[in-house]
Amino acid sequence: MMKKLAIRNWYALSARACVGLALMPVILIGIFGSRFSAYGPIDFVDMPLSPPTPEAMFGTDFEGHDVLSRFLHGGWQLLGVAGLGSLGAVFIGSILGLAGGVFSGHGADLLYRVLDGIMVFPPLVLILVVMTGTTDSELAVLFVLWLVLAPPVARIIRVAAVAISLTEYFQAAVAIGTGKFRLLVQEIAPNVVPQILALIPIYFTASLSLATAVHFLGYGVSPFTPDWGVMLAENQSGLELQPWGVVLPVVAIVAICVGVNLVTDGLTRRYLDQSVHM
Amino acid sequence: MPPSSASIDPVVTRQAELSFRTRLRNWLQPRSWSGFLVRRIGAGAVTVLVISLAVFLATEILPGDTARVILGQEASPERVEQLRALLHLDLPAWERYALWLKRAVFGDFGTSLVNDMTVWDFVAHRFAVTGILVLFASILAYPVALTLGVLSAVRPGSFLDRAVASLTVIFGAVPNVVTGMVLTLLFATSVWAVLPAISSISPDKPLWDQLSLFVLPALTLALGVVSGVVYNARAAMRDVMQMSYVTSARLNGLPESNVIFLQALPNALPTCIQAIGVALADTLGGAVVVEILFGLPGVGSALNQSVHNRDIQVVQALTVIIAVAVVCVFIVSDVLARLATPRDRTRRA
Repeated sequence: MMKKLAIRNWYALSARACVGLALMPVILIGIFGSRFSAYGPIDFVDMPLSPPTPEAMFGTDFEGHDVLSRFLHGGWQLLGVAGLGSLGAVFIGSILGLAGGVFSGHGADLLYRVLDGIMVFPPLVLILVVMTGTTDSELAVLFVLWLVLAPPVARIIRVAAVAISLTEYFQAAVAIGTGKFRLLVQEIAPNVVPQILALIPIYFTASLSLATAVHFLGYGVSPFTPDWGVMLAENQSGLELQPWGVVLPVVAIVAICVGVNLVTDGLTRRYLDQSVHM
Repeated sequence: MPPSSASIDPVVTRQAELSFRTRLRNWLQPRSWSGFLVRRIGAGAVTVLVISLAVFLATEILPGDTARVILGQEASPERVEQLRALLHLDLPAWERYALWLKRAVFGDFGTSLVNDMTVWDFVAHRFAVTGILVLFASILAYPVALTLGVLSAVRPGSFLDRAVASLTVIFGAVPNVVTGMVLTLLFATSVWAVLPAISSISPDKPLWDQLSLFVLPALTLALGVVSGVVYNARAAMRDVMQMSYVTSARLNGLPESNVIFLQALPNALPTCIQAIGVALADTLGGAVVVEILFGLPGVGSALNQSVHNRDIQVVQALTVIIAVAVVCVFIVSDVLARLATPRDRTRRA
């Protein structure tokens, strides 16, 4: 009975992970798509919002650009910001979290109070506030993504780091007089690496969601940038006449988010304790 | 320093014999209700204060002369002077913050820089819109989410469990904007054109007569938060179902429905309440995008609009109001979770 159940669960999960893997090539389309586009992203091809023709396979958008070409050009900036956003946030958050596992005292307390304060805010509201105060650029968006996503990472990694600092081998290392920095690098960090790696794809989807929303609202990108988030906003009004300008980016974003999540879910369940998963 | 055992037990020592400081300490100890509430509300107030300071700073760090940046290079010197006076830019920053805070406590957030209304007039009627949106989304999301979470936890590995797990993984990943677009495509344009794509609210009719405008926005918001609640409810219920007291309840011959709903569920409830609290806070943030997507004139779209216009006074006010709302949600959910914890109800004092 137990064995059958275990096999069934394993089977079901890996089937899900396979679906996720099958969706991964969409990321490649997003990154390398611009090489295969027939037209430039701001070339005028046909009348605005004209239906699909042999020249423009998915019709034209609200300004007469080829939807497919714009779609192929529109992924790399969004995916780049999302990828750098998640890598940077996990990197910063991990350092803060690991430090929280070794150092204690008023400084660490204060740091975590500040991080908690940041986490009280709905991420998008925080992003908007910072956008008021900074110049409107993609770099600012990246910085804000780090600001918003690093605190939860720090919390998760800190819990893992504290759990290791309670083990006997760690206590033994403390007892023979190992310095704090060495403790961090030699005893804690190697044991938290799997958790840190698992957080990168999880925060990639979070970062992609936020970046899409931010681009949709028109921050960090100029109105003419070919970008999936911008495409959603600019083609929304022409939805009834010519939905492809919205459908393509929607399908791509859904495929990437769901694919990454399915693969991560499958891998973490297979190789990690489930408690790490969010 | 831990309090002495004599002072902590109210049965052994009569309160009157204790010093004022000891009584205060007893009253404030975190395990008692009074101490819990004071601490929780105090922490919330500090958070709001810190956030207001942070928001003030974030909107202050505009490079160069704030008034000039807001008005643009072509503005006439008189207009810049006028704005400088309005924003009290000649005062040092901390004095401006103190002044702003003093007024904000009494609900006076100043005047909008763009349309010369007081911030309160500009914002007030938008609360109703966001309120209805969030309420509607909550009604759609939480009952379903809790039911699914509990049911899938009761039968791990069943078809329902696996379906729910797959759906949470999928819906947990997709951004609100995209969900909204998909729903618009499905229900408002090409496939089944049954609902309005853009919610153009007419100010003449009361909001309650225009509820159909809220269906798609609320559904979008609900789909965004449902997976988190399902995930937490399922995890909590599964943990409880594996406890030995549940097994012993079964061994005592209690019917399964009794075991699930009367024995196990009460212990999973606090986690569910906390998860709903977090989800509600998320809804407040997600409302920004959803309101803009569907053209609802709510708090979120007002925030976006004023950020675009660099309307500092409105941004400050709205952010602080949203922060207060989120902190209140967290306090209420903590209190409810504590009320619902069976262990805490039976504990003395």
